[in-house]
Amino acid sequence: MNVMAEVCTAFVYPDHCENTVSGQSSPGILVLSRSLQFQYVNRRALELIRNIGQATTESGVIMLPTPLLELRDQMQESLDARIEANIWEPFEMSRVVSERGQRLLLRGFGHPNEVANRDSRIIIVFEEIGSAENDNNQQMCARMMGPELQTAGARFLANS
Amino acid sequence: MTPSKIPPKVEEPANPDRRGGTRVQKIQPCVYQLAQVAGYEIVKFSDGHALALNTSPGGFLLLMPQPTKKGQVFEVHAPVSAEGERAVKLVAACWTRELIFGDAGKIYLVGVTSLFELASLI
Repeated sequence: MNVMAEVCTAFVYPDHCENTVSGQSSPGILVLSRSLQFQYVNRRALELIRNIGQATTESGVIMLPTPLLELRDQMQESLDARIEANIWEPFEMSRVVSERGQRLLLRGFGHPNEVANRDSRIIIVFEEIGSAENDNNQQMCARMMGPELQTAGARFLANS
Repeated sequence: MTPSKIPPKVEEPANPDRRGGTRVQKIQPCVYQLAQVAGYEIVKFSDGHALALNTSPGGFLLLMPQPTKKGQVFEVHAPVSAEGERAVKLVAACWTRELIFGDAGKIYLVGVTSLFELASLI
Protein backbone atom coordinates (compact mmCIF):
# COMPACT_ATOMS: atom_id res chain seq x y z
CA MET A 1 0.00 0.00 0.00
CA ASN A 2 1.28 3.47 -0.86
CA VAL A 3 1.90 5.33 2.38
CA MET A 4 1.85 8.75 0.76
CA ALA A 5 -1.49 8.05 -0.89
CA GLU A 6 -2.90 7.03 2.48
CA VAL A 7 -1.52 10.17 4.09
CA CYS A 8 -3.17 12.31 1.44
CA THR A 9 -6.45 10.51 1.93
CA ALA A 10 -6.34 10.90 5.68
CA PHE A 11 -5.26 14.53 5.89
CA VAL A 12 -6.22 16.19 2.65
CA TYR A 13 -9.52 14.38 2.17
CA PRO A 14 -10.50 13.52 5.73
CA ASP A 15 -14.15 12.99 4.78
CA HIS A 16 -13.04 9.88 2.96
CA CYS A 17 -12.24 8.37 6.33
CA GLU A 18 -14.64 7.80 9.18
CA ASN A 19 -15.94 10.78 11.10
CA THR A 20 -14.05 12.27 13.97
CA VAL A 21 -14.79 11.09 17.49
CA SER A 22 -18.52 11.62 17.84
CA GLY A 23 -19.95 12.28 21.24
CA GLN A 24 -23.03 10.08 21.24
CA SER A 25 -21.37 6.90 20.05
CA SER A 26 -18.27 7.20 22.21
CA PRO A 27 -17.92 5.94 25.74
CA GLY A 28 -17.08 8.46 28.42
CA ILE A 29 -13.50 8.03 29.57
CA LEU A 30 -11.63 9.57 32.47
CA VAL A 31 -7.99 8.77 33.26
CA LEU A 32 -6.33 9.61 36.57
CA SER A 33 -2.83 9.04 37.80
CA ARG A 34 -2.18 7.09 40.99
CA SER A 35 -1.99 10.43 42.78
CA LEU A 36 -5.37 11.41 41.26
CA GLN A 37 -4.05 13.94 38.77
CA PHE A 38 -6.22 14.23 35.66
CA GLN A 39 -4.46 12.73 32.67
CA TYR A 40 -7.32 12.57 30.22
CA VAL A 41 -11.05 13.17 30.02
CA ASN A 42 -13.17 13.15 26.88
CA ARG A 43 -16.18 15.28 25.99
CA ARG A 44 -18.58 12.37 26.38
CA ALA A 45 -17.46 11.78 29.96
CA LEU A 46 -18.15 15.39 30.86
CA GLU A 47 -21.55 15.17 29.18
CA LEU A 48 -22.47 12.03 31.14
CA ILE A 49 -21.09 13.41 34.39
CA ARG A 50 -23.21 16.51 33.85
CA ASN A 51 -26.28 14.24 33.78
CA ILE A 52 -25.63 13.06 37.31
CA GLY A 53 -24.18 16.23 38.78
CA GLN A 54 -21.86 19.09 38.05
CA ALA A 55 -19.02 18.35 35.62
CA THR A 56 -17.23 21.66 35.24
CA THR A 57 -17.44 25.14 36.62
CA GLU A 58 -17.88 28.15 34.36
CA SER A 59 -14.14 28.60 34.34
CA GLY A 60 -13.61 25.04 33.08
CA VAL A 61 -12.48 23.47 36.35
CA ILE A 62 -13.51 19.82 36.53
CA MET A 63 -15.93 19.06 39.38
CA LEU A 64 -16.71 15.41 40.00
CA PRO A 65 -20.01 14.44 41.66
CA THR A 66 -19.94 12.47 44.91
CA PRO A 67 -20.56 8.94 43.50
CA LEU A 68 -17.65 9.40 41.14
CA LEU A 69 -15.41 10.76 43.88
CA GLU A 70 -16.27 7.74 46.01
CA LEU A 71 -15.41 5.29 43.23
CA ARG A 72 -12.22 7.22 42.50
CA ASP A 73 -11.15 7.06 46.15
CA GLN A 74 -11.97 3.35 46.40
CA MET A 75 -9.96 2.71 43.27
CA GLN A 76 -6.99 4.64 44.59
CA GLU A 77 -7.12 2.84 47.93
CA SER A 78 -7.25 -0.54 46.21
CA LEU A 79 -4.50 0.43 43.77
CA ASP A 80 -2.20 1.52 46.59
CA ALA A 81 -2.92 -1.65 48.58
CA ARG A 82 -2.18 -3.85 45.59
CA ILE A 83 1.06 -2.06 44.79
CA GLU A 84 2.07 -2.35 48.45
CA ALA A 85 1.37 -6.09 48.26
CA ASN A 86 3.16 -6.49 44.91
CA ILE A 87 -0.02 -7.47 43.13
CA TRP A 88 0.31 -6.31 39.57
CA GLU A 89 -2.79 -7.68 37.91
CA PRO A 90 -5.29 -5.08 36.74
CA PHE A 91 -8.62 -4.97 38.49
CA GLU A 92 -12.10 -3.61 37.96
CA MET A 93 -14.66 -2.01 40.27
CA SER A 94 -18.10 -0.98 39.08
CA ARG A 95 -21.07 0.87 40.41
CA VAL A 96 -24.39 2.07 39.05
CA VAL A 97 -25.43 5.65 39.68
CA SER A 98 -29.04 6.81 39.37
CA GLU A 99 -29.58 10.56 39.38
CA ARG A 100 -32.19 12.77 37.75
CA GLY A 101 -33.74 9.82 35.92
CA GLN A 102 -30.39 8.86 34.42
CA ARG A 103 -28.71 5.55 35.13
CA LEU A 104 -25.02 5.39 34.57
CA LEU A 105 -22.66 2.46 34.88
CA LEU A 106 -19.26 3.57 36.16
CA ARG A 107 -16.54 1.01 35.48
CA GLY A 108 -13.22 1.70 37.14
CA PHE A 109 -10.12 -0.11 35.93
CA GLY A 110 -7.04 -0.12 38.10
CA HIS A 111 -3.81 -0.40 36.15
CA PRO A 112 -0.84 -0.98 38.50
CA ASN A 113 2.51 -0.42 36.82
CA GLU A 114 5.18 -2.73 38.18
CA VAL A 115 8.02 -0.97 36.35
CA ALA A 116 7.12 2.54 37.46
CA ASN A 117 4.60 2.72 40.30
CA ARG A 118 4.04 6.42 39.67
CA ASP A 119 2.73 5.52 36.22
CA SER A 120 -0.06 3.40 37.65
CA ARG A 121 -3.42 4.64 36.47
CA ILE A 122 -7.11 4.64 37.21
CA ILE A 123 -9.36 4.54 34.15
CA ILE A 124 -13.07 5.16 34.57
CA VAL A 125 -15.44 4.30 31.72
CA PHE A 126 -18.96 5.74 31.71
CA GLU A 127 -21.83 3.88 30.09
CA GLU A 128 -25.48 4.85 29.94
CA ILE A 129 -27.84 2.10 31.06
CA GLY A 130 -31.16 1.37 29.42
CA SER A 131 -30.64 2.84 26.00
CA ALA A 132 -30.13 1.11 22.67
CA GLU A 133 -26.67 2.58 22.62
CA ASN A 134 -25.91 0.93 25.89
CA ASP A 135 -27.00 -2.44 24.53
CA ASN A 136 -24.07 -2.11 22.19
CA ASN A 137 -21.80 -0.82 24.91
CA GLN A 138 -22.64 -3.78 27.11
CA GLN A 139 -21.13 -5.99 24.45
CA MET A 140 -17.89 -4.10 24.66
CA CYS A 141 -14.85 -5.85 25.85
CA ALA A 142 -12.33 -3.84 27.80
CA ARG A 143 -8.76 -4.95 27.62
CA MET A 144 -5.85 -3.58 29.58
CA MET A 145 -2.61 -3.31 27.69
CA GLY A 146 0.98 -3.37 28.83
CA PRO A 147 3.94 -5.74 29.04
CA GLU A 148 3.01 -7.02 32.47
CA LEU A 149 -0.61 -7.42 31.44
CA GLN A 150 0.08 -9.35 28.30
CA THR A 151 1.80 -12.06 30.30
CA ALA A 152 -1.03 -12.10 32.78
CA GLY A 153 -3.45 -12.31 29.88
CA ALA A 154 -5.75 -9.93 31.67
CA ARG A 155 -9.05 -9.35 29.97
CA PHE A 156 -12.11 -7.67 31.36
CA LEU A 157 -15.60 -8.41 30.21
CA ALA A 158 -18.33 -5.84 30.44
CA ASN A 159 -21.20 -6.43 32.82
CA SER A 160 -24.15 -7.55 30.80
CA MET B 1 56.94 0.22 34.05
CA THR B 2 54.99 0.58 30.90
CA PRO B 3 52.12 2.92 30.97
CA SER B 4 48.87 1.12 31.09
CA LYS B 5 46.93 1.22 27.97
CA ILE B 6 43.49 2.44 28.34
CA PRO B 7 41.36 0.89 25.67
CA PRO B 8 39.64 3.47 23.56
CA LYS B 9 36.06 4.02 24.46
CA VAL B 10 33.75 2.33 22.11
CA GLU B 11 30.31 3.74 21.84
CA GLU B 12 27.67 1.18 22.59
CA PRO B 13 25.89 0.54 19.35
CA ALA B 14 22.41 1.94 19.49
CA ASN B 15 19.73 -0.64 19.75
CA PRO B 16 18.50 -0.86 16.18
CA ASP B 17 15.03 -1.54 17.45
CA ARG B 18 14.09 0.41 20.57
CA ARG B 19 10.60 -0.94 20.52
CA GLY B 20 9.13 -3.45 22.89
CA GLY B 21 8.46 -5.85 20.06
CA THR B 22 8.58 -6.34 16.34
CA ARG B 23 6.49 -3.90 14.41
CA VAL B 24 4.15 -5.04 11.70
CA GLN B 25 3.17 -2.62 8.95
CA LYS B 26 -0.53 -1.96 9.16
CA ILE B 27 -1.72 1.25 7.58
CA GLN B 28 -5.10 2.21 8.89
CA PRO B 29 -7.00 5.50 9.06
CA CYS B 30 -8.24 6.37 12.53
CA VAL B 31 -9.51 9.30 14.53
CA TYR B 32 -8.20 10.71 17.76
CA GLN B 33 -9.31 12.98 20.58
CA LEU B 34 -6.91 14.99 22.71
CA ALA B 35 -7.65 16.88 25.89
CA GLN B 36 -5.23 19.36 27.30
CA VAL B 37 -5.72 19.26 31.03
CA ALA B 38 -3.88 21.54 33.44
CA GLY B 39 -4.42 20.39 36.99
CA TYR B 40 -8.18 20.20 37.35
CA GLU B 41 -8.84 22.55 34.45
CA ILE B 42 -9.62 21.57 30.88
CA VAL B 43 -7.68 23.87 28.61
CA LYS B 44 -8.75 22.54 25.25
CA PHE B 45 -10.30 19.59 23.44
CA SER B 46 -9.22 18.73 19.93
CA ASP B 47 -9.80 15.84 17.61
CA GLY B 48 -8.98 14.87 14.06
CA HIS B 49 -7.86 12.22 11.66
CA ALA B 50 -4.67 10.25 11.95
CA LEU B 51 -3.05 7.33 10.25
CA ALA B 52 -1.70 4.29 12.06
CA LEU B 53 1.40 3.14 10.19
CA ASN B 54 2.49 0.05 12.04
CA THR B 55 1.78 -1.86 15.21
CA SER B 56 3.70 -3.83 17.80
CA PRO B 57 2.39 -5.87 20.73
CA GLY B 58 2.71 -2.88 23.03
CA GLY B 59 1.83 0.06 20.84
CA PHE B 60 1.76 1.58 17.39
CA LEU B 61 2.99 4.45 15.28
CA LEU B 62 0.68 7.30 14.34
CA LEU B 63 0.91 10.05 11.78
CA MET B 64 -1.00 13.01 13.19
CA PRO B 65 -1.69 16.61 12.18
CA GLN B 66 -0.85 17.92 15.65
CA PRO B 67 1.92 17.24 18.14
CA THR B 68 1.55 15.55 21.50
CA LYS B 69 3.59 15.85 24.66
CA LYS B 70 5.64 12.95 25.96
CA GLY B 71 3.45 10.89 28.25
CA GLN B 72 0.25 12.57 27.10
CA VAL B 73 -2.73 10.22 27.30
CA PHE B 74 -5.26 10.40 24.49
CA GLU B 75 -7.94 8.42 22.70
CA VAL B 76 -7.72 6.71 19.30
CA HIS B 77 -10.64 5.09 17.47
CA ALA B 78 -9.71 2.52 14.86
CA PRO B 79 -11.99 0.40 12.68
CA VAL B 80 -11.92 -3.33 13.39
CA SER B 81 -14.42 -4.61 10.84
CA ALA B 82 -16.21 -3.62 7.67
CA GLU B 83 -19.48 -3.58 9.62
CA GLY B 84 -18.47 -0.36 11.33
CA GLU B 85 -17.16 -1.88 14.51
CA ARG B 86 -14.32 0.08 16.00
CA ALA B 87 -11.93 -0.19 18.86
CA VAL B 88 -11.51 2.70 21.27
CA LYS B 89 -7.94 2.76 22.48
CA LEU B 90 -6.32 4.79 25.21
CA VAL B 91 -2.69 5.44 24.44
CA ALA B 92 0.24 7.37 25.90
CA ALA B 93 2.63 9.24 23.63
CA CYS B 94 6.22 8.02 23.96
CA TRP B 95 7.81 10.38 21.45
CA THR B 96 6.87 12.85 18.74
CA ARG B 97 8.82 13.77 15.63
CA GLU B 98 7.90 16.71 13.42
CA LEU B 99 7.81 16.20 9.65
CA ILE B 100 7.30 18.63 6.82
CA PHE B 101 4.79 17.20 4.39
CA GLY B 102 3.98 19.04 1.17
CA ASP B 103 1.12 21.46 1.23
CA ALA B 104 -0.30 19.93 4.35
CA GLY B 105 2.50 21.65 6.28
CA LYS B 106 3.77 20.04 9.43
CA ILE B 107 2.66 16.60 10.44
CA TYR B 108 3.88 14.50 13.32
CA LEU B 109 5.03 10.95 13.79
CA VAL B 110 3.93 9.84 17.24
CA GLY B 111 4.95 6.57 18.83
CA VAL B 112 2.39 5.46 21.37
CA THR B 113 2.03 2.79 24.01
CA SER B 114 -1.35 1.11 24.30
CA LEU B 115 -2.85 1.42 27.78
CA PHE B 116 -6.39 0.23 27.47
CA GLU B 117 -8.85 -0.86 24.83
CA LEU B 118 -12.59 -0.97 24.47
CA ALA B 119 -13.30 -3.25 21.54
CA SER B 120 -16.27 -3.95 19.32
CA LEU B 121 -17.95 -0.61 19.73
CA ILE B 122 -20.46 0.08 16.96
